[in-house]
Amino acid sequence: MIKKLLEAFFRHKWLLVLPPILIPGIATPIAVASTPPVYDAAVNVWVERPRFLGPQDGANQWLTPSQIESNRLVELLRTRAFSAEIAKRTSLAALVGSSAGETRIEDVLTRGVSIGRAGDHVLIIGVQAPTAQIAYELCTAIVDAYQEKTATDQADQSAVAVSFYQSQAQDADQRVAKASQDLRRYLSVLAASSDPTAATDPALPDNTRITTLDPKLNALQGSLQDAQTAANAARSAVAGAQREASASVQGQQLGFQVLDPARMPTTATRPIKKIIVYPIAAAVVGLGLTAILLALLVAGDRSVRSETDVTPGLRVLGAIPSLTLKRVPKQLGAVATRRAMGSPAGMALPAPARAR
Amino acid sequence: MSSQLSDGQAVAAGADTYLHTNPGEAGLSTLGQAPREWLFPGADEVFRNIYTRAGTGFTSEVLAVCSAIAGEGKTTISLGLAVTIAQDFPESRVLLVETDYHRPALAKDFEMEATPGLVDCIVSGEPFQVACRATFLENFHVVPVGGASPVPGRPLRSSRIAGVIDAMRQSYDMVILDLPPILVNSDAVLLTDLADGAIVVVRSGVTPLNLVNKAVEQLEESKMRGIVLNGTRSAVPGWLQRLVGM
Repeated sequence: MIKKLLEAFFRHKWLLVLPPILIPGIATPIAVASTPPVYDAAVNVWVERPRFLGPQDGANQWLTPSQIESNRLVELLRTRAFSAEIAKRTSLAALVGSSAGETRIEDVLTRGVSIGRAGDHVLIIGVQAPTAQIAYELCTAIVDAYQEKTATDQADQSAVAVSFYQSQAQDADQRVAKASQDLRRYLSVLAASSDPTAATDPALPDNTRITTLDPKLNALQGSLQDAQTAANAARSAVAGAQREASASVQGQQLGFQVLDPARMPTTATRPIKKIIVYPIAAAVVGLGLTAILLALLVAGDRSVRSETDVTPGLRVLGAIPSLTLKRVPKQLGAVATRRAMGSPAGMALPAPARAR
Repeated sequence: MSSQLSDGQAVAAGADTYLHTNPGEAGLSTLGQAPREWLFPGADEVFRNIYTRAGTGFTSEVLAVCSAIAGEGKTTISLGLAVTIAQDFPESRVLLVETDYHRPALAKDFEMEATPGLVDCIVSGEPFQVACRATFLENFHVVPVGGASPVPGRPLRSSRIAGVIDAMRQSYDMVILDLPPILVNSDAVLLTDLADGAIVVVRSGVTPLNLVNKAVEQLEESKMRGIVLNGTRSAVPGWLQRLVGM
């Protein structure tokens, strides 16, 4: 089989070599022409592990801060809301609001923004854009929008947490008030039935003695104490939540610091990787085409080329190689060969090409 | 005869321009001198191998050289075989008979008069010796097919052809019939019936296998000597052939 493939390849070598050369040859100028020069801007950010409220924040401890922030930023960049938020801060703001414009913004962000990492804490946000202004603006806008989004999220989470604990504190206060009111009412009733003086002042030392003797009074005082303990705990939780909220906002500011701000790019560059990809893909396509052509040529060749191609049972007496004479006009090739073969018997050779 | 070949000599004198090898080795000769040597060095050995494997040359017989379709090199192979046998067996008389009157070549190649030829003898009833032409080799004669048939019909299908071939068999030790293509001209099948053996010429890389098989099917199995592949040439470079063991 390999002999047939080689024979077919060398027999049609120009046809088979053409696709891997011609297709990249066509694709390369198209790739260069369709890949305009771009301006690069980049910003390096120092990131720390995000500080959420409470110690059990559910963050993956095995991911580095830069990985966490990178993943989050990539996810956000896929959303229309965040894209619009970025675009509003740039010259692309006019595109926000229209369907076509937002598609264009998404296209610019998808193609132009790259999020990279340099170590565990350094996040590199790179932007390629058709103009230097847009590259710079996008780079800055992404950082600003991300910081704002993070701060807003932190504030919202803090507000929800504080609100939750405050509602718990209110409930606890209400339970304290109710328990206190129940106790006061009981003592009033108790004093009215025995000693009016004692009823007016439940804080007297005699009352203490009374409570130790009265289980109902003892239970009411216990409820009051529990309610007060719960209220104290809730107030403490509110204070803690407020403290942590404040700390997390400050921590977030410290955990996302722009180390190298974006600079306005001055020179445009051609994205070599993009340009190279097309010729390589074209070469692969060309090679595939060559392989298909070769397979078709081998499969389609039904002619007898060697002894192995002859039907079994037929005897091959010999193979006469292709005999050609030099300087013979092409149209006389077969005649010249025949006459050369008969030359020992006196056959006349045709006139040579140069003599014609 | 001398006058017929004189023009050919003049053209042949310029044959050195064709030679691959040292022109001095070609040994071009004039009529009456020693025969020329082969212009393709080693070609005679190839033909020697073919006739040896075909089991011919050693006994008197009529050998038909045919092919499935036209342009496969029947005349070239017939000529090569005839010349080789004539050179190898000087005591044997060799006759090459051209029978394809649709594509005559011998008279033109030898630069001789086309008539009288085989067809003329069959039509006129003259003996075939009238159409025999001498060559540089004393024991090798050729019979061209002749001019256009003066009568309608297929002269090679007449009852006289068998008599002519029998007469050739009587006068020559080896008669080689250069037949028309089997699948194109059915006269070829008739002529192979009159021969003792048949060789099928196949143009390498051109003739489809199914046509070769069809042509072989039309021949008598007992007369089939074998196939000769003509124009074999590998396109693979020599170093690669050696590398992959081709």
